[in-house]
Amino acid sequence: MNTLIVYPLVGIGLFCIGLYALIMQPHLLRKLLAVNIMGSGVFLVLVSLGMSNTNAQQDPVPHAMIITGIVVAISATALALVFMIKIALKTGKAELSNPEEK
Amino acid sequence: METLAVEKLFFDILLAASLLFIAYKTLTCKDLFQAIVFFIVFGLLISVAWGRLGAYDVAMAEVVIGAGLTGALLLSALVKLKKMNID
Amino acid sequence: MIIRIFTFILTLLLFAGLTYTVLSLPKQTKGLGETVSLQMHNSGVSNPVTAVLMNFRAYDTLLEMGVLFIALLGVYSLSTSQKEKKPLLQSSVLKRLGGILVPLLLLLSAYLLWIGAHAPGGAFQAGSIVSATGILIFLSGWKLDLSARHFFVRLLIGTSLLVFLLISAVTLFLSHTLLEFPPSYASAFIFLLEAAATVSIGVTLFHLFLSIFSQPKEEH
Repeated sequence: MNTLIVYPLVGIGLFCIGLYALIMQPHLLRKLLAVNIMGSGVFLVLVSLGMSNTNAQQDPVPHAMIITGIVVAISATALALVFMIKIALKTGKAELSNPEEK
Repeated sequence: METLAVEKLFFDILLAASLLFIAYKTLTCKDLFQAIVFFIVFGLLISVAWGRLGAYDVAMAEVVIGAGLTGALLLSALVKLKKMNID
Repeated sequence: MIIRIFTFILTLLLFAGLTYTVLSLPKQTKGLGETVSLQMHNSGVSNPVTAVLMNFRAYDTLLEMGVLFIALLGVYSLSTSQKEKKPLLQSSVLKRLGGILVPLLLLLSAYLLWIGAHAPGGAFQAGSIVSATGILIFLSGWKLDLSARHFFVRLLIGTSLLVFLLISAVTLFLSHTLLEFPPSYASAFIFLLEAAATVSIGVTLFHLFLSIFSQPKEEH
């Protein structure tokens, strides 16, 4: 039995936790963390599926894609953080309104 | 060989459980500072997972960028919010 | 409350669907590992990940340099220029430690850049260590102005995009295909690209940090 089947499932789990938090958490910084965790889940699925084709030959293409993806993720995070600070300067709070309070 | 497989399974399940638990804590704990520290821990743990999957290049990039630089960016943004008296 | 339950059920359904999809994927797929390893002798390097990043799919990396550049432009267009008055941390321990760590980190990043051709490592890892070094220099309050007011720093940010475009033009001229290196010169081309990418990634990521750090506290 191949124990590596755990990792795609963890990736899917991370994606779903992140998606739920992205929808439900009002704070923008928390939403950003959620997006980052979703991204990590997607990367985990990609690498572990690329690996599970049994033979010892590693598939380097997903690895290269994911290194690219990590760098793009941090630059997008930085841009989003600047947006968040600008929103906080304009509106005085860094949250979206909570849907449950309405 | 048999014991090694059992140890591997144990390690995989332990790593999987701690990844999911840290992600859950990152997204639900009350304090934002705490959440960012949990996120840094998450970055370190996922780079262990990359190592387990044989993606050593990705593990290296993740440990510097995902844990180190993203943590620095998030913390400096949080400090900005705190200085504006916004939580 | 109803929204919470609704979202929870939808996420659970998504989880079930994705799990089913992943588990029902065909087990025996060929992947691209074999294709890559057959072409490795033409790539000029012996680390397959570096070969994919800088040779086989170099246009991905070219476009990624564009993404980094555009992200930094976006951050700058939102920033009001403000000079940071004083360093954040006034610690003599950090200053001394910085004096030891900065040369070591730069050496480490040069090593990673060099070893990337044969073993895990390469431009992205080296570049991110360069930017971590920049953050360390900035936080320990060295009198070293690294802000983008200087033409030289702006040039460093644009280096990799310029070098990539230049080499694209050269390869287009040499072999009539974009970024297809002749095997005998491939390792030289790759090293040039990696060195440029290291510098640019390092300076760009450091400046992303710097412009978040020096956002004004109140609106002007």
